[in-house]
Amino acid sequence: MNVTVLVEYLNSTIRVSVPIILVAIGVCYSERGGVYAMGSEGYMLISAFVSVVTMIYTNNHFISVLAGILSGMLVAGIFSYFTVILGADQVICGLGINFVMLGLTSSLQRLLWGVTGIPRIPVMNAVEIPVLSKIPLIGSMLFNQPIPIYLTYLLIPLVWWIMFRSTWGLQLRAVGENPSCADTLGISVRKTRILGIITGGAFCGLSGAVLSLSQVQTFTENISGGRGWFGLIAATFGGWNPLGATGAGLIFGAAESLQLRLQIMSKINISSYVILMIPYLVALLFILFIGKSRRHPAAMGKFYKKY
Amino acid sequence: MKSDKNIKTKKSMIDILLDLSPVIGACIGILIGACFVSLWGIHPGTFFVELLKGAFGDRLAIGSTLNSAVPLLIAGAGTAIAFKAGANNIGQEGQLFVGGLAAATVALLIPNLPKGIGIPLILILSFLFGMAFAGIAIFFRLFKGVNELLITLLLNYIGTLLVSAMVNGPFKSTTNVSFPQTDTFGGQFLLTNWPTMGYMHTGIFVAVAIIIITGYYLWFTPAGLRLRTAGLSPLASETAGNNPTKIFIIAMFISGGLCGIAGSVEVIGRSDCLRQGFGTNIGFESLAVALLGGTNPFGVLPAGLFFGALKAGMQTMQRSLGIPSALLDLIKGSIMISIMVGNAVKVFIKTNNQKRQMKKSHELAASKEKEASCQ
Repeated sequence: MNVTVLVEYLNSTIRVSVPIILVAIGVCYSERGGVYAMGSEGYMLISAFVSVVTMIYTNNHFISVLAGILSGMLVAGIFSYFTVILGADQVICGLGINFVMLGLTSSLQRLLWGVTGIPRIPVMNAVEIPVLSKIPLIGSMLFNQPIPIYLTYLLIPLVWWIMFRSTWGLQLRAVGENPSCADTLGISVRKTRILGIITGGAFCGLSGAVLSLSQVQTFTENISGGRGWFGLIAATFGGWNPLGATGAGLIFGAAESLQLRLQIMSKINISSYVILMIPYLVALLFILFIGKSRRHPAAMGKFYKKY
Repeated sequence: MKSDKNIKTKKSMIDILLDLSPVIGACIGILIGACFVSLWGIHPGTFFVELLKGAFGDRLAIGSTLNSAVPLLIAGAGTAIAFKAGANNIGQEGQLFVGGLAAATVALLIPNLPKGIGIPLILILSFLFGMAFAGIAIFFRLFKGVNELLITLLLNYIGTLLVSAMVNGPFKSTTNVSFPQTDTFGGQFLLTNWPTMGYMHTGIFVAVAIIIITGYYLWFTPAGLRLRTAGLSPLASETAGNNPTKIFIIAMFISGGLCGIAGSVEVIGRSDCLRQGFGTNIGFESLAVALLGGTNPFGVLPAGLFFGALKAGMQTMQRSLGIPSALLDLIKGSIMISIMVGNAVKVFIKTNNQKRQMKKSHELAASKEKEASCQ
């Protein structure tokens, strides 16, 4: 009995944390280049909406995930035009993007489907990997999941490699630390930053698509519900390193799924609103004990103007 | 000399246009809303007429406009102070909610206070509660080096849930069980309101007073000058012998406290008890108000009234035309983005002008040198 509860808990931890981890990786890319990624929530929302709508019309998971990623990239591109080329305030612009996307998706949903809401879409089936899924305890947690989660496993090392071992990753980090130095060396600050933001948008888009297609299976108003912010915090406390961000994302996922478990259990005599607070309190405690001396990229939030 | 004069008048024209960038931003936001409404098959003209009717149509509409504006004005003034000092306080919502909680704490725990003491005590305690919430962000910024943006964002959720937990737990009403709320406060804790004016309450005078005080503090006192300097250039402020850290702390505290007052005024003005989710969206709306007012308390006054009118108008429209309230989010976001882009373009044009002038003066100097060498 206890083991099945534990297995179920671990399963839901992975499911809950994958969207947070994907957003956190996206945020790493944007912020390593020196641009605040406050719009991550907005990218998730638009991508969740677009992927669900595509799913309803095409009934093809692959195309709808792709559409979601592209929509995230498109919005990130618009954001990068405002902040990197025109030099608008990154924090406020990002918040503005969130609100525009929240309003846009909610009103489009009302416009297209009225008060009844979007119909549910078919389940994204879990794919079992033959031998590995038989490992006790963690087997089904890691190897009996929908395809996008396997994709995430593959992406994490790849993303780390790109950021720390490839030329472009070095350029991105240089641009975030000291843009004028990078510029002197012939790196285009604007191009690198825009590419970083759009890559971040792609990851947030994938996260939104995973959330709506494989977990909620429909689009509801404000579907991301703060996961974008959690991604932002996970990236910060992972030290803007995809591996660290993954670890932080897992912790937030564990807190979130603990909250969901505790709510189902009726025996516990705690106000459900206090239980809802758990993930946020965990984040605060996390910052209090681990998040010490995390230095952000030196040029973060600063507009680089070429003279 | 003549050409110099021409350049000056031309520049001032552009400057005036660019200084109006918040107004232009607001117009763009409303226009986007109007375009969007046409998707529902409603003529954009009808949108404007209904919006105006809902905001200023009759005495009831004006009252609801002013009531919507009150918390936005108070919290907007607080936000403006934080932003002027370079402190990124985006935790208005959490601070607002704990401010409301302070009102309930006073009214429910000490129900026998006379009127003259009750309301001031509520205002003071809500200021302290808001300050305490901002204090958490200050602590993390100073001792952990974590940006206050993240902490205040987290505290938004915690503050909202704290109020929900209280109105469902210790403060739960014994008489009304249909909606999570507290018991009705005693009459001496509530602000006077006028039913014939759409239940307009005296909070609007509190709001105007706060705006005048904060505006005076920011623009006419030495402390305000120091605060603005720290926001413009921390390095210059430090060189001048000020302590930017201290100014950051003061600005965050004032800002959090004012947001707390906004919450308590909303609770004791609009309703007679603390309700779950009473101030949802007010936090980020007041952020938009502060930006629309050019992060200046005196600018917050028209900006807050504009937003209050927008809110009241949208509410009526939701009822009469069936437009979802999510449209307000869209308008809010568009206003925020367009103001920021407008500011950026302003800086861009200014630096370009400076560059041109520098080039011109260089050319002038070069030609003069040439003339001198010829002679």
